[in-house]
Amino acid sequence: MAYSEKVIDHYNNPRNIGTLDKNKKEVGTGLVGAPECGDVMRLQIEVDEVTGIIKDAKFKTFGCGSAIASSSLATEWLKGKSVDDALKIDNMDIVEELALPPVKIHCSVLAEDAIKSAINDYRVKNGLAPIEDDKKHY
Amino acid sequence: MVQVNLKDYFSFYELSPSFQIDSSVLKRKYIEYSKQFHPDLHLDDIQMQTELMQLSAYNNKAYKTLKEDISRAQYLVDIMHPTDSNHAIQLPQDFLMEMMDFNELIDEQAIEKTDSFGSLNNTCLELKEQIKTEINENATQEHWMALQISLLMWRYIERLEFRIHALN
Repeated sequence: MAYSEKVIDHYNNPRNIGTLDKNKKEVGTGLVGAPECGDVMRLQIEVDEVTGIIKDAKFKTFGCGSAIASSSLATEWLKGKSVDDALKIDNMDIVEELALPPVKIHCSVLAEDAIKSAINDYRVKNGLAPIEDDKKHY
Repeated sequence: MVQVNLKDYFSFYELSPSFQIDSSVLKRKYIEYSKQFHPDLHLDDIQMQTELMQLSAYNNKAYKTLKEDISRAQYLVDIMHPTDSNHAIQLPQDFLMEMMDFNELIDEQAIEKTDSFGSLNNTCLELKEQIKTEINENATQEHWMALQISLLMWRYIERLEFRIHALN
């Protein structure tokens, strides 16, 4: 299967690989797995407490090229967004941007789940109710 | 026409669908069928030959699946408790965390090349045994949901194993 140039670019030069301090109140951590393929993805956001803007995002993914590219792209998109806008990131946006083939769509779903899970972790840490996922992927 | 039950692999070998099977019966039936379905026995009859080839292939696949514990457990859950998609299942957070940490250790090892291959491998083998025991228990007790989860965990372990061996 041929990967798109964008996938290869993110795979070779992943943006924002790393770890944020998960014990910090401003940091939300999402840890999700795609059990089908044995993939595991960690995505973290750090929110500016005053502005509510995501000032940093990091990820670490063990999985295929598409899973790495999806999470790398997600961190790029997250930085500078408000938490509410970040919630609007849809897996199909990732599919489109990276030109993922149908068999790799679940990688983008994983990235979206990771974003939501990181945001919920941040919300819960800061005394807010977690957002119910109305868009069930499964 | 050859009369066999093709409902599922267990029925095919006249076994009841359960995790604990008599492996000697399985092997005996497999060998019996292998002889019975040998396509060379009917070189004059094309239609019969085609049918036998299909049965032979089925026999091989069924035997291979039921012979090994893991694939038998997977097959059993697939027929007894089919789920639409494994995406529906989220593994426990602490397990995912463990997998993340383990993968990171393998990464470090890949860079530093210190001699901890043995210890990584041992930890992986321990985990593997642990999950294997869980699969055995869940399959024997027919706890389908728990079995699904432990089978999915197995995939993670296989992947870790693959990565560790690639290091060496």
